[in-house]
Amino acid sequence: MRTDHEYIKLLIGSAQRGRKNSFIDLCEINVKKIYTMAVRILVDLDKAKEVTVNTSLAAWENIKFVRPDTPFDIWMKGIALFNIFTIIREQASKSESSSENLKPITPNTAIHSKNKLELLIMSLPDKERLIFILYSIEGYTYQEVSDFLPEFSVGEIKFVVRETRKKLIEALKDEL
Amino acid sequence: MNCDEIRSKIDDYFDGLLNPDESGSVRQHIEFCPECKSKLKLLQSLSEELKGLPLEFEPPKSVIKEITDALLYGKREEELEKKAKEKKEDSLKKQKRKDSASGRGKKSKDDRNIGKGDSEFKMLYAGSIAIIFALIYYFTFITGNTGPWNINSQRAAYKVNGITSTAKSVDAGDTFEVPGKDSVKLVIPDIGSIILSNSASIKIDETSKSNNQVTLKSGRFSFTLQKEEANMHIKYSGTSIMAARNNFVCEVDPNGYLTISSQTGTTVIKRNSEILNLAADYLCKLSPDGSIGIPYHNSASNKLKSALSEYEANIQNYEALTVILVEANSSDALTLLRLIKRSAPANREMIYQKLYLFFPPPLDVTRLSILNLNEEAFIKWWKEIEWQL
Repeated sequence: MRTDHEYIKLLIGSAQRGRKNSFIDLCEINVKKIYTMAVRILVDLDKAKEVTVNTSLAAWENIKFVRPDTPFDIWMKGIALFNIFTIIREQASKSESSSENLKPITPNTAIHSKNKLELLIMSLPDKERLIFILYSIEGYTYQEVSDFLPEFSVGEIKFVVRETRKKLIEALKDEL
Repeated sequence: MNCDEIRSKIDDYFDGLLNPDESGSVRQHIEFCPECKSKLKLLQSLSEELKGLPLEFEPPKSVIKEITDALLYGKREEELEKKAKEKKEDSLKKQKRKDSASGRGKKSKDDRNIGKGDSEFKMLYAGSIAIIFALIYYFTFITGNTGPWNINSQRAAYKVNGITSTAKSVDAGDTFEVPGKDSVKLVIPDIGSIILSNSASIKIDETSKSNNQVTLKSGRFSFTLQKEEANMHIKYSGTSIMAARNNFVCEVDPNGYLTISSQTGTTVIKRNSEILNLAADYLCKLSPDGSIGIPYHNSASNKLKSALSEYEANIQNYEALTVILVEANSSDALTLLRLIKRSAPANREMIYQKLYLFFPPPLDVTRLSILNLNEEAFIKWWKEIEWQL
């Protein structure tokens, strides 16, 4: 299992003893990972920023609970996902129909990427994109994704991943 | 297994989710079936592309600033409180609208006018209350007097204006002396007290609530100030010591040096434009001419203290600086910070690095701003250190 670099461990220890500067150093190392994950899932730069800041502050409040056997970035991503799900649920409760159905998102023109695959992922329907990112990019298992999204069974999640793969392979067949 | 069966299982095969038997069958088929083999290859290529996706979304610079502001200066809490307040107001408004829509809260035109009259009356009422409070504040705190100060003595003799006295109080303009070693307490109503001992002599300059001022001449003084708005100013050779809600001791030695020892809270020492915020547990010496010495922690070693006085006497004394840097530990942070200001440009870097080891500065405080003696940067760094001490 992957563990943190000695320097990261040093910063964590220092942050756990109350040194805020060390924690800010940890944030500087990890914000890009958190922000990128949030941009990919939410396709909204403002919300991604909000998630990144809220995640860092929640991580500071809970810094004492970081376990030595869990890499710090994975731990932080867990908190980020909690914040992302909160936003998704808030959005879903605002537009009643969006929680059940997979529907295309409105492309956010403010987000630019030179990577075709990145753009294709971001143009996937909301839930499809969320499930695919969690499984195929973030490396969570089917069971873990289903735990995050209890409205989907493991079978349904497998189906979504398989169909998304097909779509992406079809769109990229000349480049793969 | 035929191709259709294989393709229905190819994703699970790729993800390693099949049992060994099924996995073996799929592997066997793929070896001899170019179409299924190419399907698997595409899955592998997609997976590699996904693994290689760069972290290309750069978070805005304000992200780290917001985190820093929230952690170090508590700005986020203020923002959240503001948001919560706005949310509460919104929900109240919504509730009102809901009430009026449901008919329960329907008001006639007359009712609304009555409401308007009500709010005008409330504003007038609040305004009058504010004026009354302002007047009370003005008369009691601005024009009010703390004098005369009560003299509280068990057995010690004391002098008022040079004459041995049995008076029970002193006021502005009086000189008060305690010739012996016994102590006498001066009680300042609503503000606190001063205990004088060891041949202490003090001149009381002013006793108003907006400004209580004394001039120290000799002896030992222990100040206990209970209020934030104590407005106590202590003068010594043109240097001002300002304190509020703290305890500190001042002692003038026979050579005319005044040692200030801050026990709780911060004591502000000001001479012209130079300001030193003497934190709790720190001591500082004022020269007979009132100039402010380098502060040191009450746990500082004698070696450190003597190196500090040597360095103060000659800031080119490299050996003394070396002793200071070797001896200093994290509790000497204020000493090191002050030393940077006092030192020649060539020596500042070493002291900066030593202090950095104990307390790295906040992100918005750069090394250069400290080496160039930027006052704002010093204040920010000290704020960051102070709460950790």
